[in-house]
Amino acid sequence: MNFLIANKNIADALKSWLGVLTVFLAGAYTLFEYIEHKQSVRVERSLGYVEHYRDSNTAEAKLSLNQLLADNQQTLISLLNSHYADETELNAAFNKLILSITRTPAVQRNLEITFTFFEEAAICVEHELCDKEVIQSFFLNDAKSLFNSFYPYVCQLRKQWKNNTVYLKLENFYVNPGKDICQ
Amino acid sequence: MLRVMNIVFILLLTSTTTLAETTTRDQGSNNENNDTHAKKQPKKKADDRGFDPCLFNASLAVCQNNKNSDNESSK
Repeated sequence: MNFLIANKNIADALKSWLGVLTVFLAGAYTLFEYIEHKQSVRVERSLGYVEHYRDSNTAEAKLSLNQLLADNQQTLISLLNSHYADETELNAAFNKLILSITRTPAVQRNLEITFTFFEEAAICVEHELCDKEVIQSFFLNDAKSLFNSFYPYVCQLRKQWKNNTVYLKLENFYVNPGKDICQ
Repeated sequence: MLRVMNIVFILLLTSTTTLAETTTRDQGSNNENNDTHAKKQPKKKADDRGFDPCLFNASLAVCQNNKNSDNESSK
């Protein structure tokens, strides 16, 4: 008789603990599923940017900018390989060349389209709506090389508009926050 | 008692299935990454980036920031 009572007590205790365990497991599972879902939504949204980058007028704008750099490649390389007394002279010569090749409205339009696209993707990551890894793997190289090549134009815009935040999010996300590049 | 055990069993089964799916997916993406990396390896850094003035002369103002970011990422 005592054995049966003891068994019943054990069964009751086990039942309570199993209840607690069920609730805990259900909670953990729900949380896991929620995080997974959130992550997959971020990745899907990022891939939407990738598709847009390849199919829309952003692709055309980027190709035109690459062509512009290819057309001026020899001049750019000889300028960058020349010997200057100091860095200020080199920067001045580079700024002058880039500003001269970006003076046409068509080039400026292409720069605006491309840089705005890269900046929007960076903002999407900043607000945790897009996946940082995906955005960086697809756009980091293009954004970095284009920004490095055309930064004198960005500096000119900042100076003209008296606004130091022009394409700043792009610079911070793809290049790196550091000293002021427009000094 | 039996009902509770059934619920626990179903939950455990579902969690295991989801974990297995996730692991398979992650492994797949890792393999893809490795493949992409292997394909890219023979290329030079310049090919990956397109034209980048910093690869020709790192004294430009913008390249100083790039150098900082490269150092930070290598740490």
